[in-house]
Amino acid sequence: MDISSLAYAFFNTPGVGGAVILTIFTGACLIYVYLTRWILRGGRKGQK
Amino acid sequence: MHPENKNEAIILKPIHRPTTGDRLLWFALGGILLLGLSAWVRQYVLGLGVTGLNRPVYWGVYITNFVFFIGLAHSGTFISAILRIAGQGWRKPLTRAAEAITLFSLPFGVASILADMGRPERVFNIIFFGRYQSPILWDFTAVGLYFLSSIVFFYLSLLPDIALCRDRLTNVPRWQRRMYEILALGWQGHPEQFHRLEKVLDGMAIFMTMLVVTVHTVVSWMFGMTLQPGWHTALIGPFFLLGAILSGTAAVVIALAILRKVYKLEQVLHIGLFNSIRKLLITFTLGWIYMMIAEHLTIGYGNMKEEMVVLQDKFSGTYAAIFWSMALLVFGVPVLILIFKAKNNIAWMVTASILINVGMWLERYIVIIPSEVSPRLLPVMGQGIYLPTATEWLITAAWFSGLFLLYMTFTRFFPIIPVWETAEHLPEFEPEGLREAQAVQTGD
Amino acid sequence: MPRWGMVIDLDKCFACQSCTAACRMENNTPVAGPDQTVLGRAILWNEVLPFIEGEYPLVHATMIPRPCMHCDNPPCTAVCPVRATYKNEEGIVVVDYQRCIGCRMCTVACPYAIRYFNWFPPEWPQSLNQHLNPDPEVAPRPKGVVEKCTFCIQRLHKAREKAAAEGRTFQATDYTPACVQTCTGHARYFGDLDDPNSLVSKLAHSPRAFRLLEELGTEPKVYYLKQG
Repeated sequence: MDISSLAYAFFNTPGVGGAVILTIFTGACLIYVYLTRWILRGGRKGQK
Repeated sequence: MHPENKNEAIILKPIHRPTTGDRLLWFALGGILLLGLSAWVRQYVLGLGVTGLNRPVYWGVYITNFVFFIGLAHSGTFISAILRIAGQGWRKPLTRAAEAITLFSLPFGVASILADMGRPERVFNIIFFGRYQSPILWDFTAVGLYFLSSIVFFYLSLLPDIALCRDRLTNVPRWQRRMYEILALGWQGHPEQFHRLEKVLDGMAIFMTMLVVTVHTVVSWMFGMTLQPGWHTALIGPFFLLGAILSGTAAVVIALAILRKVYKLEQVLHIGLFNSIRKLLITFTLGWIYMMIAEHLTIGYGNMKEEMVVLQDKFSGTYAAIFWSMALLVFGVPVLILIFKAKNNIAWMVTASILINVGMWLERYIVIIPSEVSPRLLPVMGQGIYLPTATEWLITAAWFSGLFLLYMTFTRFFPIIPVWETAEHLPEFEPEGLREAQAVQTGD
Repeated sequence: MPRWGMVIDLDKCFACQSCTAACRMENNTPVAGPDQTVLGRAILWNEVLPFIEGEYPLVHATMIPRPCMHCDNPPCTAVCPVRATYKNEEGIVVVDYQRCIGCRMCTVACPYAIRYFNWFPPEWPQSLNQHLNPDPEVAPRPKGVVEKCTFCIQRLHKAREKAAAEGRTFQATDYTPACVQTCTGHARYFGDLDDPNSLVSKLAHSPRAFRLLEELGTEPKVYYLKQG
């Protein structure tokens, strides 16, 4: 489990970058949807 | 409920049935856009050989456009995010107009890349086979995340005003009312909703600021990470970043001046705003000339052969005319106009801003092409040439038309000045827990 | 695994350009034609480049045949977003034409400018069209992808298959790129740089040996033996 070869594999292996991009974009979308709903929930019948 | 804003009527006035003038402009801009798109289709069918690109000038006008449009996008984030964090309240009337530039220029930055690719239909290979060793992946991630976040930031900032349109604009066509209803997401204007919205915008502003710095830096690293003379410099990141903020801010001035004139928003976009931006523009142009001097002095003093070939080409060779025009347009003339003429004078502000933006487009061109034209093996290869063709200019014109088209269409349907942000005051919100805690403290 | 490299003796090269012609015939590179060549569109995986120093009458001319350097530390493979170009285990830098998206980042990253791009679909004049190399590994590339010298890797594959078919071990000398095979002046040598007994290895260590742009640290595997 050598860090430098793990790092090399992460940066170099085709497809890993794509998976990271998809994760980042999906994660961002989920966070934004959650935040939007949180905003809209505000002030409604004592709900937090 | 909607916060009271004495300028509400003025701001909502431009939202009306499209006029003949509107339709003519849409027709013209749409026509140019279509012309450019058909040039692209022709290029896709025949091959990139229809451009002026060649070996060694593999990147040309399309990549220039990519960098330029991404740079323009920094306008919105600078005004709304960075100035927000800095607590500069005077920015409030400008935020949406600036962010709209961001929102509508980013797609054309992305389109410029697609137009430049040899196999655009394989763009999803970046997802299937992407790897982070490549600066292109850094670009894809940063620009993609920036685009997504800008859409969200823009939409959230617009939300209370969509609800305003839903409630106030009763004379609009049925489909338009329906659009407001759907897009308003049921916004009611409760104080807590406003409170939460502000908090989210504050948080996003910090995130967007970090993104802005990242985005233009990684865009510059597409060049900086190679060994081309003139490109491989540590200064390229900050240099591109400052250039982007400069061209973006100048673009905001142009947009605001047009909006102010066409929609009669003199009361809302008063001269003080332009004076504040003037100070920023002076700072940024001075910053730009600092970077230019630092870069060129370092290269010149170091006197390394391959670097000097490119430097001399820019100073006195094939690219001298463009280089010195750029210097005059970005710095020489605007700084004088801004310092001596532009105070309290919008016409001069706009002149300086237009010159800056034309100069900045040339600046991107000057960064990219001369380095390619004089590669390291120049003594055996001979100098390259690059003459952009009609295809490249048509596609460039299409992108600018597209930007104007999207922008002006937006202003016909939504208020370009945030009504809720410029309201006299927003509804007060006090969380319940806070009141109780205060009661305990005072011993009530 | 062998580490394939090339040595070019500039004393023996007299710039006949047979290597350039042989390379085209072997690898099916398209013909750009005179108009496109003037515009910088020619695709010549191997080129012979003139290096003229000084002015008449004190002129010193060197003719430098220039294939891909197949660097051990290639700046071009690092920047490919999809790993369509990479250095294989034997040190040959190859391009996967099916995966290439045509972004041309590798072409600007190469300090030797040895990478070429298909600006148009490939074309040949009538005469050459009848004489394309039928080997599917060098099938003509479509428009929109990058291509470059591969040290005639298809010949490596053929040589290995042939050795296997003949029931003997593959020797490094079984494999020769077209330019090396054709060279009129026998100026080009090719082989395993890691084999201390190979000719290329010995020549690469010659006091006359130099490489292009060595100071960049790309570790090119094409060595030149300087004139005189």
